[in-house]
This record gives sequence, structure tokens and C-alpha cells, in this order.
Amino acid sequence: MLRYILKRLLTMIPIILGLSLLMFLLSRLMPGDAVRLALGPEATQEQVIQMEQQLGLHEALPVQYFNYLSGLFEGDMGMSLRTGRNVAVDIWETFPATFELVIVSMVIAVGIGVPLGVISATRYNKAPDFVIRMFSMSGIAIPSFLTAILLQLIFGYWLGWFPIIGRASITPEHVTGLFLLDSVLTGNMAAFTNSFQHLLLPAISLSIASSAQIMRLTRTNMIERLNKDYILASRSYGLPNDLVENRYMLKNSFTSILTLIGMQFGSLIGNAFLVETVFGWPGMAQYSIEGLMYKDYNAIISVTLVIGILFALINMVVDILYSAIDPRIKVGG
Amino acid sequence: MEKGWIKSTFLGLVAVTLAACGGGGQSENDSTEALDEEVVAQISMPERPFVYAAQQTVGSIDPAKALDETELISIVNMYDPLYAPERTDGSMAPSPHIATDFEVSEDGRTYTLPLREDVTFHSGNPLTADDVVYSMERMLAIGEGNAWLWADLFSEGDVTAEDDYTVSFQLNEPYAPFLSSLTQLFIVDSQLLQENEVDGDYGQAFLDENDAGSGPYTLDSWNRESQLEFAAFEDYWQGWDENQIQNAEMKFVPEEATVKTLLVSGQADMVHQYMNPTSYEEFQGQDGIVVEEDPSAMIQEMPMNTQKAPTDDINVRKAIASAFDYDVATGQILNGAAQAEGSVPLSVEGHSEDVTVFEKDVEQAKEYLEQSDYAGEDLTISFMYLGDNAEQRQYSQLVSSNLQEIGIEVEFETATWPQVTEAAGNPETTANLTIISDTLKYPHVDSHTFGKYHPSTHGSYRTAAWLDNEEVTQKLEEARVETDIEAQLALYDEAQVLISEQVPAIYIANTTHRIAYRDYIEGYEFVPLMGYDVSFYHFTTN
Repeated sequence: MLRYILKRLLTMIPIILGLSLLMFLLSRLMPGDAVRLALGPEATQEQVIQMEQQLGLHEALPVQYFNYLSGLFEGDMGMSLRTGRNVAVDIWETFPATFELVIVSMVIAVGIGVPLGVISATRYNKAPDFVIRMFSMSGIAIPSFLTAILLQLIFGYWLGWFPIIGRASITPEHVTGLFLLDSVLTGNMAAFTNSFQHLLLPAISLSIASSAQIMRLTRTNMIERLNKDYILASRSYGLPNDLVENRYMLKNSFTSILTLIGMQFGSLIGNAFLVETVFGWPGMAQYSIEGLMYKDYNAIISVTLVIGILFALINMVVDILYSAIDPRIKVGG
Repeated sequence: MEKGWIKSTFLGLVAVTLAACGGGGQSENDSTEALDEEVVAQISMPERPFVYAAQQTVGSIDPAKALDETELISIVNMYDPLYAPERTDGSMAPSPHIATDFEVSEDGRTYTLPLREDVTFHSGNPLTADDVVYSMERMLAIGEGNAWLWADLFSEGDVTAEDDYTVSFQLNEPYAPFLSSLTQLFIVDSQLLQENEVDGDYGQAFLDENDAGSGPYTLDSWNRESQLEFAAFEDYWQGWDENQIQNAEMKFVPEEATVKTLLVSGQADMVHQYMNPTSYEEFQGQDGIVVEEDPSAMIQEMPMNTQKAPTDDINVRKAIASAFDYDVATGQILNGAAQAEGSVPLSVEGHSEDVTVFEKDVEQAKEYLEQSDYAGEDLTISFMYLGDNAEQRQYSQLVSSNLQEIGIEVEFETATWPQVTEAAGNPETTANLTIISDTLKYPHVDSHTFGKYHPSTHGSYRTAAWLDNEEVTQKLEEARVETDIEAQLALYDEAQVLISEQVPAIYIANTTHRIAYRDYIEGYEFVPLMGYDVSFYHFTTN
């Protein structure tokens, strides 16, 4: 297993290199002069040259790429044109907020999607199945930013149950940067409740589409197995329904659900950018969007790299979980 | 057992959600209270810091780097300039602030400014002439933000401290808007920054996290993605009254729907000026919200490239300006704005009333076309606009249909903002027509005359007309070196007339500046110079 993980980590290196090269080239291909944009339209030519030299942009492209890469190994992601700080510092400050939002959304998506999928399959073509399918269709069809605005309006403004924006008004002591975890670690329950109240609406908005996808796949996989011989046999042995449904049907369906969960992380991070904007969530979204507007090279490349690495890591975890669920799959075998 | 985990996960989630709502149960009471409070709120402000919802984050709080609106708002609240724009009479004329007066030599090259002696920085250090010298040196050495205003004006040692409270500026050449430009020079605490200098960085790293000003507020805390918090500086030299804002927060909220909810629910006290006009209309219908509308110093125009066929012909330019429907633009697209008259915004002191102003007249436009060198030819002009901007898409439709009426085809070039600025760098790549919005850079008529039509400024989006007219150039140069204010304004007036005769642009409108705030806030004055209107020190609550 350890060898497998090491091997997977090693194979990530060319992926990261490829991604960094691609993003480096794409960011350079974007129209417009980034330095002039950062300095404002009135900047003099001397100002532009001064800043280009400061950022190393006067060097040839391959040299610039090499400089970026070598900096990366020392934890230096280059200077942001917008904030004037090392991009690594900017990302370090904003990443935990986005990560926490995505993780909690995934927990909610799985927590809602799987049980509803099971219920839908076991009540195939009955009232609960129709209701759940309708929910899932709308969940997929309604874009997450719209759900976000609606939830904000209903629960934040009309009912006043949840805050409209922000991440917390009582912040726990900094340990990991994940507020929920930090509040538990420092035993600060007031901060936990406060963070959770702030987190719930954004997390639900973000999780609805994913939970609908997970629900649909769970349902389809379960239904496929309904008429399999081994299920028929189990039922005819008089095994209890719960055992048949959960152990034989759901567990066997779970490998493909896991694949979907892995894939959903990608779209969750993408949608998180929209949801963060609506809820004024201090994550990477604002930073990246403004980075794009300002053509902030280093910010654009580095944010994409971080997301790429995260996505690769999550899919590695998913692959490892396959073997835990299905003994026929042996990772690294 | 197995089914148990599904049930328990599901029930768990429901329970956790309810628990949060339970926390919200308490909040529900809060919300009832909030409603009561809202009734009260119409006459008094809730017990919390003043909240201003801004459209974007703040990139830098260093006065040598500040450039966009949110950055300048933070600087205006933490630092003091030598001269500040006049707030009350709407003139924006530079009025003494840290400097008490000025004296200018006959050749217009030496300015001597005595300073107030009662100003202290947040650190407790007194503000002296050395700080002014250091602030200008620092500005030019860093070379960002508004440094371009003085970049060619000083050589080393040109800014000197005559004594502790007198500073002198020796200009390389006479520069009429010099005093106005000082509204953009914010004085930093030289002693504090020198103590915190790292490798000769002029304290840049220090100012990433701290302030070094003497302004009414100190930096309380700054979360770069969510908010900037200010706290009153007790020893501020202008003193404090009881009802002034003591604590203020600038929250960064990019989503318009969220900004609306914040203001309507009373969780924000003032919101930014960049929302869709219809949003302010909605606010006007709400109790407890004031919408303030003022003519801005922002001019919306379509520069016509005078160095590219067919707009290199003045009659073609006149034809286009006469074919354009100004009423539709100001009334429908801009939801009520004043038609622009010449290149200078109407509210700026020194705006000329003798400039040529066009109205839609198709017959006249056709006549101009007949008189042009391109008469009888099938004309096509290129039009560059921001493809992701709804307003500019409407303009593209309007221009296309207006010009079709006189037989000119329009070729659209949709672009992003970086593309527009890049295209404007060269007369060949600049489209025949480009649409831009251009606000005042310093409170002087020079900003929208010399700053746009003198050949030395060519290459920016503001100069997409590429006007290079000898008469205009000469008049602008005369105006810039004139030290007598009246004579100076008369020269700028003549320059404006000459510029308008060249028809370098379709001057569409002076847009309306709109801002909304809760009705318990008083003292808001629109100052059409970026950042200066959101000066928390001038607001009071009743």
C-alpha cells in the first residue's frame, strides 16, 4: 500500500509539471499587458520597465518558466501583481476557507445523496421515488449560485436564521485554518456554532447539485442489481431486506459512487467560486477572480496548480478506498 | 445494523441542520428584535461599526501603490494629503489641508508650502516637512500608484524642507495642475517607515500589514478577502464630535444581490456606486434608504481614431457624431444622464460652454459625408467595446443602427479591458471607434484636456483618438505654464473649443453617480474624486 501511495505521488510530478507549463503558457497568451494593467493606464514607460525587471518579466519565456519552477521548490510562488505579496502567502490565507467549504459540502452531498438514492431504488416507481427524482432533477438543473441567492434571501434575510455574509464573527484560535476543526481542537464551542451557522447555507447551496448526482447514480446502480440472480437468491433464502439492500446491493454499487465522489470534488471547487462570491466567503474565489481580471500571472498559475494537486490527491484517496470496499481491486497489485 | 448507518447519517444531518437553526431559534428572536431594531434604525444606527459594502477587495493599503477605488478609500481614511478637494461647494478645488497655504515663484517652477504644526501621526511622531520630502521621494522611488503624476516633474533633491514646517517643490517645468495633483500625495510617517525598512524597501513590507498615517482612522484589522476595519485615531488634529463614526468596516462583497440584501436588511449602512441603475431604483422604493444622485466627473465617450481611415477625415467624424442618437444613450442606456458637452465633465471648474455640441441630425450627417474625401465610397468602421459589459453591448447595437442610417457599416471588435488598453497603444491597432468611461484623474481641467489631447500622452486608452493637432498642442502647452489662475483657465477654455472643433470623439454623457445609504447617516457629500466621497470622518449618525 505504501509503495502504491509513493508511486502515485511520483506520478503526480509530471502531471504537476505539465499543468504548470500549460498554465504558464496560457497565462502568457492572455491578451493585454499585465504590468501596465497593474500599474494603471497612466503609468509611464519607466514605471513599466522598472516593474517588469522586478518581476523578471524582461527575461526570455523559458528562463521565466525555469525561475518560476525553481521558486516553487522553495515555496516561492512569485509576487502577485495585485497584492504585491508572495502568492504562496495569499493562497495559504485563503485556501483553508475554500477547503473547509468544499469538504463540508461533500459530507452533506454524500449524507443526503446516498440515503435518498437507496430510498428511491427500494421504493422504485412509487411516490417517494418520484419525489426524490424530482428533487434530484431540480438539483442538477438549478445552478448553485441561484440556489445560493435563494437560500440567502429566505434563510438569511426573510427568516433571519443565518448570517448573510462572512465566515465567522467569533473566530477560533488558529491551528489549521479550518474553523470547525480549530474550534473543536481548542474546545471553543461558541466559535464552532458561529462558524457552523456561517458555513451551512454556502455548504448546502454548493452540495445540492452534487447530492443530486450521487443520488441518481446510487439509485441506478441499486436498481440494476435488483434483478440480479444473487439478490433473488438472497431474498429467497429469506435474508432480511436491510441486509440485502445495504450489504449486497449498496456496497456493491459503491465503487462507481466513489468514482463520482472523486469527480464531484472538481466541480465542487469550481462551483465554490460562485457560491463564495454570493456569500462573501473569504476563500480563493475572490482572489482568483481578481487575479484573472488583473491578469495576475503568478496568482492564476498557482491557484490552478493548488487545485490540480488537490484534485489528484483526492482521486488517489478514492482509488485507495476502492480496495477497502471491493477486495477484488488491489491497488498497486 | 447496516440500514442503521444510513438512517443515522441522514438523521444526523437533519439534527445538525436543526441545531444550527436552533442556534437560529435564538437568532429568530434576534430577527424579531432585528425587525424592531429596523423600525428604530430609521432614526438611529445599530450598535455596531459603520459598514460600507465595497465591490472588490483592497490590493494594497500603501499610499504609494493605491490606485483603484477601494484602495483610495482606505488611504483617504488613514492618511492626510497636503491639499484636499473642497467638499461642500462641489467645485473640488484643492483646499489647504496639511499645507496651510502656498506661494509660487513667477516662473511657475517653485512652490513653497507652509505646513500645519499640530499634526501627529498615529505613532505619536509629529508631522514635519521631512515627512513630506520622504513621502514624495518614496512615491517616485516605488514608481507605482499615482507616481505618474510627478514622474517627469522632479529631479533628485528638488523637494526640500526649508525648515521643520515649510516644504519647497522645485519643478522641472511649470505645471498648472500641481496643487490639484497634491490631493493624491498622502503623507507617510518617515521615522516609522525608516525604522521598519527592510533592504531599502521604503517600508513597503511594513505597510503590507500596518499604516503610517496621520488621518482620522488607524488600521484595526485587515482580512484581505473579506474586510478592512478602521478605528478612530483619538488625537486626530481636526478633533472629534460626538456623533462621528468611531469604528468602520469596509466589507468586500462582489455579488450585487448580496449587497442589496445587506443594505435592505440593515446589515450594511452604505453601499458602493457600481451597481446596475435599476438596483438604485429599487432602493428608492424602500423605507429607510437614501439614494443620492449627482452628476459625476466620469465622462462616457467614443474616441474616434484620427489617424486611421476613414475617421482620419474630419467630415467623417462630424458625420458619425451627427448620426449618433444621444437621447437614446443618455435616457435609455444610461437611465437618465446629462449629455456631455466637450471633453471636460460638466462639474469640473473651467468647463467651457463654447464647445461644439452635436445632436442627432441624419440629413446633416449625410451632408458631412458628402463633403468628406470618402464621399461615394462604401465605408466600414471598426468599433471596439467590452464584450462582457451589458451596457456596452447596447451601445454596439445603437452605433450600428445609427450609422447604417447614413450608410456606414460597423465591424464589431469585442474585447476585454486588457485588450482595449493594449490596442490603444498604437494608432494601427486602435479601432476607429472605441467606447470608454474616463473619470477625473486630479481635480483640474488639465486632466481632460492636456491629459487626453497632448501628443505626449498618446498610447493610453484615454488617448484613443490619437489627436495630434498643432494648434491644440500649442494652446495646451501655453495653458500649462500659465501661473495666473484666471488667464490659465481662459487658455484651457480656448483649448477645449479647439479640441471640440476637431471632433476627436462622440462625447456621450456625464454619467450619474449613485450611492445608497441608510437614512440615519448624515454628512455624505459627493466629491467626484476617486475615494474622497467615502470619507467616514465626515459622516455622522443621528
